[in-house]
Amino acid sequence: MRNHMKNHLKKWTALLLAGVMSMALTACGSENTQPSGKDTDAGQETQTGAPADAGQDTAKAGNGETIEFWTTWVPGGDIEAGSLDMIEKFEAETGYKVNYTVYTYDMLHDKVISAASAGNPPDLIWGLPEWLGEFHNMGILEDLTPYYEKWEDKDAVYESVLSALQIQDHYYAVPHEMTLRALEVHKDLNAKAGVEVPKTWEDVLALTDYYEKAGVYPYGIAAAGVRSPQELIVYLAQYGLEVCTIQDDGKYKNTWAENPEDLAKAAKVFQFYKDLVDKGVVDPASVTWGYEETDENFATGYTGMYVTGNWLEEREKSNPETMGDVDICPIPYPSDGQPATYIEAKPQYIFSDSKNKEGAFALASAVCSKEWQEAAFASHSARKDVFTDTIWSKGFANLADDGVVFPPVTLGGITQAMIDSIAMVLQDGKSPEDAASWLSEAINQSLADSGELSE
Amino acid sequence: MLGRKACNRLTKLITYILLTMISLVCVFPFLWMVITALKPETEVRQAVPSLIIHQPTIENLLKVLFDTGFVKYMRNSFVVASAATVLSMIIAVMAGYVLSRYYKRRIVKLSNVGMMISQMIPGVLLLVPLYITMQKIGLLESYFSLILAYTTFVIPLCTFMMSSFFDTVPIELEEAAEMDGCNKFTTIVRVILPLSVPSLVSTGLYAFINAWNEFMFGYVFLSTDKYRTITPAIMLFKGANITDWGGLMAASVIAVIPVTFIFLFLQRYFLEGLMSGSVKG
Amino acid sequence: MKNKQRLHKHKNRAQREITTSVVMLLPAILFLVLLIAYPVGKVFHDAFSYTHLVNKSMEGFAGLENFKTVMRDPHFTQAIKNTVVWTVFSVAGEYMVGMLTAVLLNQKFKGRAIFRTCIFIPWLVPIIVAGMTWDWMLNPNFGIVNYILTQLHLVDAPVNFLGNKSTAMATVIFVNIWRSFPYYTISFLAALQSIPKDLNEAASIDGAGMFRRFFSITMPQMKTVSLVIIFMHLIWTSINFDFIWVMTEGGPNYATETLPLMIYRYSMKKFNVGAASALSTMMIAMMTILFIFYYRMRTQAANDSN
Repeated sequence: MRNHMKNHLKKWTALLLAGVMSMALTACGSENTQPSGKDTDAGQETQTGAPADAGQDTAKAGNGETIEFWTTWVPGGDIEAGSLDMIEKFEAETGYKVNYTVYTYDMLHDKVISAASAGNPPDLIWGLPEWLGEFHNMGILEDLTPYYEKWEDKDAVYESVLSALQIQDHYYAVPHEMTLRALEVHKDLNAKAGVEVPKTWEDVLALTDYYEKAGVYPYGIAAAGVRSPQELIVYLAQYGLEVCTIQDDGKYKNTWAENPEDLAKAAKVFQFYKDLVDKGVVDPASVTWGYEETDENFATGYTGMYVTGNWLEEREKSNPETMGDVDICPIPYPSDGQPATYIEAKPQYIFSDSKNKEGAFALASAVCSKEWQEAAFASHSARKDVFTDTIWSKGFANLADDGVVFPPVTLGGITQAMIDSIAMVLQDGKSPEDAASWLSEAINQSLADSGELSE
Repeated sequence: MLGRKACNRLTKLITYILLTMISLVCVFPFLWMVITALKPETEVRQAVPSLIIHQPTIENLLKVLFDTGFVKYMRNSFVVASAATVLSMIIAVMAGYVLSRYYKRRIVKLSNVGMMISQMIPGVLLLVPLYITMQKIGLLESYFSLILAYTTFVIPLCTFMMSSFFDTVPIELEEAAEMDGCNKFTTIVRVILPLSVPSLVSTGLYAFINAWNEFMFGYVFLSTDKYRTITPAIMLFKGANITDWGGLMAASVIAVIPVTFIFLFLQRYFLEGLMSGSVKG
Repeated sequence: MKNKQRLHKHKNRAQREITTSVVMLLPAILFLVLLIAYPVGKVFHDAFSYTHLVNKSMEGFAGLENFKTVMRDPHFTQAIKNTVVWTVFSVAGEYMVGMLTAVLLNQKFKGRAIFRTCIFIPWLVPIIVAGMTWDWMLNPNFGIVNYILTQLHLVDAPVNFLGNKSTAMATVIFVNIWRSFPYYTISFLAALQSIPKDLNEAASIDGAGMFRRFFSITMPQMKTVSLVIIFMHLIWTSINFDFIWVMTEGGPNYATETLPLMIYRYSMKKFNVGAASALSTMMIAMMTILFIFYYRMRTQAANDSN
């Protein structure tokens, strides 16, 4: 009886274990059938290495090889529609097979970190510029300088975009899209309030009776979330301040503390934020908002003017009544400063562990070609020769010369410190001077943590 | 003093009032999702939100169902969630039985502690190590990676739930069965499991929903659209700068409906008094 | 002779129990070892080493440096407080609402199937979708909740639920309870089924009121289920990341920052995996202490029911 029971139990567990094993084995089995592939990507290769194609396309450069491509377009959007056509064309012309998957930026970031740590990155991704420094420091990005030398089309790209993708004269990314920030203005609301478009910070701060006349707040800020550092570097750049500056040893440092004048200027920037709230120029509740709230409020006509990008073009369709009167103007700057804007040069990254770098660069440069840019990024192209007739393209392109970008360092800690410094002033009641010197220190601390601080 | 009848009526009244209030709060967000899914873009984006749909449209639902491969994602989720449920229930019944009956054995106590600790690692610290594990055993880019992960994540809770139920099954029933010549395996299958249907179903439901709704590993382990599950697919509607609320809500509603039906179908197995009188007679 | 035989029998029985235990636990252990042992080991290892994805110059044994780093973090104390508040209030709320709804739904009355379905719906919505939807609904300008509240004159002006320091934590806890309590309800309902009806009926004939019946008959029967659910949820809630991240990202100004969010920032934003692991190790230590309490109560409960 006891043995009987034991046998049964053994059978039972054996069955279960066999199940688990067979799972593992089926997956491992497919590995062995692969002629060349590394043992890590068996699944991907079985999926995509279509032998029939390979036979036909032997003459072409691609040779039926796969390009593993992780992208970030929105399903059903214009970028997807344009790009899918172009991918088809690219495959037909080059003989490569493009294996694309769509993610959001947040998903993609975590995924790339995991995959790259395991030495299993894709061939090409459409990422965010904020990742350039950290990916480079992790040593996972391929140096694309040799590819750039052979790439003739690069001269059509905005110089500011190209320089945003360089680290110490080496290229680590290919652009795929460029957006700029500008002051978007509801003309009708301004007319109702009887004001001109403000040119300087002083003009903005003078709009104290706008709310009474137009019934909405004249201006907006993104005080929290990913966009608030992008906004803050613009206001800092208008005083000629950089978040951190490259030093002689090739490392970076925030130098405000060494120069009382710089620190005073940074304090003025925080004073501007504080005045905006104190004088009722922005919604007092907006001190905790991110871009979702502020964009939405601008599109629905709750805010008269707001510094944002040309993706709001889409809102012309959803909010025709409120978005019909929009004009694009330069971002207000301090009268003792200079104009500036944030230039978001969206990169395509290729990794040093990528299996098909040739193919990846071929695809990346195709994305940057005139045809592809016109098909998918007509009004926010990285190329000088691609634009549309709308305000969303022309109004912005004029501002490109004043564009600033983030330095190519690990930004996670720095952007967080920037958000925190705004919160110090707007929520904790700290003085602008304190916030400025705290931010300077915090930036250097973050650089020190990531080993990028110049000694 | 109130009479018995009056008292009953009062109880009923309170029951209705409380349940109505709770149900309203529970259902409202889902209702809002449905309303949004049926609105055209211009109404979704109105400055003043409205519960009324002026021009109802099924455009969002059609777009999600036919343009985005959502049916495929649902099938994937269903395959993964079902497999993980079956696997974890088999494992949990066995482990739960031991946990309940031989609780004093050192090995049982140890595994109990191990299961607890396995739940304490935040997901973000599991990402890279689990990715590497999956890569080493060659399960990336397949259903198995997710099935294995989801099964493992729910084993502890399922085990504890089953064991807490087995605690209430009187040991005399088992002893009687063993007297009749049943071995441990047949005792569990013939005597204990039939009594455990409510717990089996409610615990299995947990394993299923957990797998159905999981997000992070769904996109980290898989890079092929072919195997993608629904939650990562839903999140794609949250664009970098603009969220497509109509699409997002339509996708969410579509994802919730099948599990609601599964729930409706299963609830009679654990809620309709199947147990009356059979335990602790 | 007889004694020896009995001893032998006893030994046999013990041996048999151990074998059965091992065999039946094996699949569970296998799965856990295969997937979880390595990450757990890595967390403990990294907590005491310099592990930085970006700063390659940091390597080797770190001693307690990582622990010092996180304890020097200006948000550390706040995060611990927030984690405790978030966890305790969430689980307490979930338990109370779950128990209440289970007891209410366990009665026989018309329309209970509809109520039951309504109550379980939140649990069927994926966490991130629930978080995003609530975030949207609660917005002071274009959110439907504030619109309804102002229309019904329940509030004078829209409330900035998630943007205000004093309401943000309460709001995320509310949403968490909303999403999580239905599983309590299901489990309690299933457990209530195993309470013999005659027990309740006998008590009711004895004149025991509803409350007395609940506390003296229902509650004791639910003890083990309650313990399992509460302790598992204590662990899960305290390490939960997505809910708060989706709704507030720890804001406004760290008002809802909990330890898992800090761990996320350290590992995925600052790439200091060592510090993230140190934080996680501290959390595990704290929860293990909690677990010892659970363990004692669980043993007691098991003794009671046998």
